[in-house]
Amino acid sequence: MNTDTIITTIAIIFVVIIGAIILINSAGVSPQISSTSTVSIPEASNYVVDTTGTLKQETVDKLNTDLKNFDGKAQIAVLVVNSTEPDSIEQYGIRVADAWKVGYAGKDNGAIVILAIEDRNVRIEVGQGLEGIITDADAGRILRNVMVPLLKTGDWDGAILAGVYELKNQLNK
Amino acid sequence: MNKIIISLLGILGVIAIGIFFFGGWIWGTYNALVTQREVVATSWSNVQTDYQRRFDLIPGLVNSVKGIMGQERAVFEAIADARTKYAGSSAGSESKIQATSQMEGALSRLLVVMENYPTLKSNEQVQALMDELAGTENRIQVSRQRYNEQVKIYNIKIKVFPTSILAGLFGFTEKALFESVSGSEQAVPVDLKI
Repeated sequence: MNTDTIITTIAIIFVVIIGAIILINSAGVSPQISSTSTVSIPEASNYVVDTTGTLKQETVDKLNTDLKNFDGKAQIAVLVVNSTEPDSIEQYGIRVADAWKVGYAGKDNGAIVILAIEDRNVRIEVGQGLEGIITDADAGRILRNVMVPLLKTGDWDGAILAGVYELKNQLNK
Repeated sequence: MNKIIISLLGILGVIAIGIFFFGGWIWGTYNALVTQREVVATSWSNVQTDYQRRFDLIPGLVNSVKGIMGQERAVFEAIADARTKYAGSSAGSESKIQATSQMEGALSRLLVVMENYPTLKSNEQVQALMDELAGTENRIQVSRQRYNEQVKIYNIKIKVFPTSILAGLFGFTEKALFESVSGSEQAVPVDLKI
């Protein structure tokens, strides 16, 4: 080997290293958006997820069977938590919807009934694919006329069953 | 003679490799910036869609409450005024943004005044419109938040070295975030507490 080839080799290695560093750096910069939310989202283990044990086992079993049978045109899920604080139930609902991905990919045809026991709050989170079938007004009507009156009497099971029944009705229309 | 040719070829090779990497970096970075800018544009149009939805709901709400709230002329005039301004200004302009916040103000005043009319609360049509409005406000919040997330990613990308050099060269400029306007979080009062 003469000096020229050695110099050339070194120069090539040098350029390759510089190039690699530039590539790695530009690829590695992927800013993270930090999330300040604190209430964790439970795992979507079944159609009904009750982290509080409020619902009777038979209610949960019945709903899981019903909703599995219903699954096809759309998906309905139920989530019972103690509290959504510091998130509002609307913010929490969006996070659950993002995490669970209820409904079919690309169709976004899912709905989630969320009940927060301690907050005494309830919400129906409707996927974009169902917004035309279950409008905000429909969801509001189901909540106001069907679920809230039952929830006010402490009939959690009855409220969830009736709410899900109404949602299925609306989707079957 | 032979030696000179070899070292010249060597130097040329080094330059070629350098250009290859540099060009590849420019290409990749430029495409990444364009992609992110498009993502931001899409999120922005989602915000606009939700704004339009709210805008479209307002006349229905006004019509269904006007009969009972006939004497609250100032509120209705403010809404009509903001609507005219909103419809008359071009998209993305300063006056559009002003009209939007004017609309928000007029709408929240209407909602406050409506509290004084208990009969409205039991009116099914009003309730339905309020539900739609509350849902729309919620969607606006979400789409604004998603827009902000994408803008943050974009802004960091164009500011970080060495991408910043290319961003400056190709005219990628910083995008503005939605600041949470005080009072804009004020929810539409739909009484659904258990």
